[in-house]
Amino acid sequence: MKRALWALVLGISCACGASAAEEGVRPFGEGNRHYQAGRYEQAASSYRKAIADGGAGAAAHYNLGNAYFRLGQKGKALASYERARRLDPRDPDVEWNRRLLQGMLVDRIVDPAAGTPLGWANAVLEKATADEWALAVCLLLTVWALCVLGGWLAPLPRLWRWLGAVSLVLFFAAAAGFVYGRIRDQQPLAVVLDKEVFVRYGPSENERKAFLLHEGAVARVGDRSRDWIYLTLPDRNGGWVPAASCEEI
Amino acid sequence: MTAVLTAASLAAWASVAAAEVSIETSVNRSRLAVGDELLLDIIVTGAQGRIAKPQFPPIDGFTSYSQGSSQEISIVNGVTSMRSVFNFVLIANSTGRKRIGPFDLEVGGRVYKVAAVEVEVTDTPASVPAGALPAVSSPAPRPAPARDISSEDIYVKAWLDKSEAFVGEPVVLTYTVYTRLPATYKGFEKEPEITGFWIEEFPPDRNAPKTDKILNGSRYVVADVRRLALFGTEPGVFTIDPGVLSSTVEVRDQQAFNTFFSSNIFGRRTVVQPSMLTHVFSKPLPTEKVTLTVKALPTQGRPASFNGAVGEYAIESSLDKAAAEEGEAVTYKVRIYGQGNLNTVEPPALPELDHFKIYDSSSATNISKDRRVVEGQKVTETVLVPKKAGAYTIPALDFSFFDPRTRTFKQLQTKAHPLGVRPGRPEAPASGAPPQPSQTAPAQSAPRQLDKDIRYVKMHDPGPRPIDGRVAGSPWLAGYLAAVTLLGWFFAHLGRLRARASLDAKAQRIRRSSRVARERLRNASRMLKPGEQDRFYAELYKAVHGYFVHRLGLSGHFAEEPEIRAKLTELGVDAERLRDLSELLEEVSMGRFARVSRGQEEMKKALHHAERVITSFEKVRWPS
Repeated sequence: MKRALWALVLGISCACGASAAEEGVRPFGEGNRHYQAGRYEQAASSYRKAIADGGAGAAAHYNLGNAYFRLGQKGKALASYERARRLDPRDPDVEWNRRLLQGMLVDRIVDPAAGTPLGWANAVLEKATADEWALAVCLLLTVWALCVLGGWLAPLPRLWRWLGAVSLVLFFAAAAGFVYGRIRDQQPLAVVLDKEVFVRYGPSENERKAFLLHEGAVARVGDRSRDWIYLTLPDRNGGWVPAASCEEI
Repeated sequence: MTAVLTAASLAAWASVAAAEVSIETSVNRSRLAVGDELLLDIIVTGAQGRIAKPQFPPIDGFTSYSQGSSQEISIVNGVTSMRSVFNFVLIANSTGRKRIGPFDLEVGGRVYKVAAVEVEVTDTPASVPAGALPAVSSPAPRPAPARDISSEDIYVKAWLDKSEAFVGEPVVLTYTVYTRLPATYKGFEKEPEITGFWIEEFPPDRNAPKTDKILNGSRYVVADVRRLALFGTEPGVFTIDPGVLSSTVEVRDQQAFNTFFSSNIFGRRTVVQPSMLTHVFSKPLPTEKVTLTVKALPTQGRPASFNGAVGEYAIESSLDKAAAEEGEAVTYKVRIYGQGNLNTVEPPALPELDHFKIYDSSSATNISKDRRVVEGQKVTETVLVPKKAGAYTIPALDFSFFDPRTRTFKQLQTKAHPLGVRPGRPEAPASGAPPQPSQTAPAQSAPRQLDKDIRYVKMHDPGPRPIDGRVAGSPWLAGYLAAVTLLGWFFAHLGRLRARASLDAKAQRIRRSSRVARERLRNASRMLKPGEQDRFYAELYKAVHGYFVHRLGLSGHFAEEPEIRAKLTELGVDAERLRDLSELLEEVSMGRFARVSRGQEEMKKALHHAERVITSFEKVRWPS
């Protein structure tokens, strides 16, 4: 028995050691070593490789954003933070860095819904991914079904009815979050990478200029035409910019 | 000025105040004789913006002359307030009770109504109060004929007390009138144009001595009519246009009237009927421009604490208490006083003090120009709130200024003040609340953000979560949701069916109860025979009791009359029906259990009673 216990401890230790060693040689760990040494260019390259290899989570995008930030590439940094946020919308580090970076940008685009009930609802809905909302929908619908079954089987119909009603209300709220998340995921964001880019009234250099956007401005992609994309800003303003001047998320 | 205001308080005054602007009108006497001089001051306090010079409409029985104006500026709690005094001389022409005003005054683009003042003008000379000016006679002026009054008869000189000064050093610009004719100073036709200077105007000195001077063989009366203190704000050579004075000159028909000439530029001592002897002409008095060189302050020997103060100052500091409790406010006061432009003097600020919260300072400046110099004091108060008990020292503050007299920088220092801070009184703990921390524990506060930067990279990447990208778009999700919804709907439907069946059973039972009761009553009627009494009453009991038990959904074995009555009462059955039912049940019980034999008539009566009761209760609204 004692021998078996030792064997188990040894096995777990070996597994942990192997995992740590693997972490060190993987591009993610390599990127961290470069970052700690101040080699931000190499760090960004390693993080990009980690993401390209697949199997990277929000942390890889977040770290890549940090490397870009240190390199002064605010647009790319913001795009990476946005990707990290889509994967893990409740990570406080991602939110902190994203807000800090936004405060350094030239363009201050105010969302008219901010501070209104619609803005608050959006803020809540953005706190979870579409997958999380989908799971919540499944869970709450299951609870409702169990309550109905309980009401049929057990002699406490009022309690079951109350639980069922609560779960149904929450189900509809989660369903709204799910729909919101799906729409959000299907409508990509674009971050301006160029130092400044003119937004035009049409998808051509011959079209009139509407306004000027600077690096780091974030907008939703509404339409496409050859090498141009139509951006819709949070303040409902919009126009066409060359697709090469932006990075889509 | 103080004397005049004191006199005004004894005489008459009127004021108007609107919002932050206060306007006062004062006169130096309420009773005067024809030819006497009445001094009228209009004092505007707290005005923001430009104050237009008051324009008098013609005042019945008076001739009015402006004597200029003066301004005082003070900064209290960071708010600049201004006090402007406009001085006028009114000469009474006729007797009677006179009303001076009301008139309009424009302050900051808004017109204020200045209240009227009443005085009495008599034939006989009033006793001249101490400090009041002698009487003056002054006919209405008219334009001066050029051939009669030359620039040698009356002229004005604007002169500086020094031709060079340092930045911030006061230079006095004086307007001196030379006249060999009787004349009255009426203010300025064209105000001086002075840029690059902070200006403080000295109040009019009505008691200033006038001197006689012999110039080119003629005797002149010489008087200073206006004095301004100029503080240069930047180095350079400045040419000042002193403006044009306004005066009236009396020209008499007889040249021998030179002896009549007054020693007072504002009038004469002797009352003469002017229209008989003189003609009064208005005479503008231009002045020559003056030049002033403003030098930069020396850089050599300039102390680190120097903040631009120029003059001659002293500094002192004080604390309003030497000991305080945690959280108790302590006031730290710094007073700078002396000669110079205190408006621009910046008092030394307290450095950051550990364990103290320092609130913004407030300062008040009082400027005095009574002694022909600009002097006063500036007091700054700072509120300190100690946050932690202990013994502290409020440090000494350095203050330095440039003394233009010695051309050196001088350094001063306030005293350091010890301050003992006792622990604050702990708040009474609520019952059941956790104990308060020890009084010796450091005061707690939220951590202060010192700087902002991005947060560091993450050392581990757990990779994508199992649900990422696998749930939201999955066809299994739709299938699962559909299945669970169907299952829930199925059980909900089953529940509804069961409930409906239960309701149906109840309704059926209620409907059947009446029929069963009637059937039993029919059985009982067949038992209306001698010897069948027991069976008759038993069947009658079953009919009545069974009817109510079924109707009320009670358990037949345990439901007795009291329970039935209670249920019926809950349903709101009226008392008469209940009494009827009780009587029936008693009658049936008597028939069942009494040993006395009952006749056929009594049995028939009981049967009818039962039929009537059941029929009666059929009309009751039973629960579904």
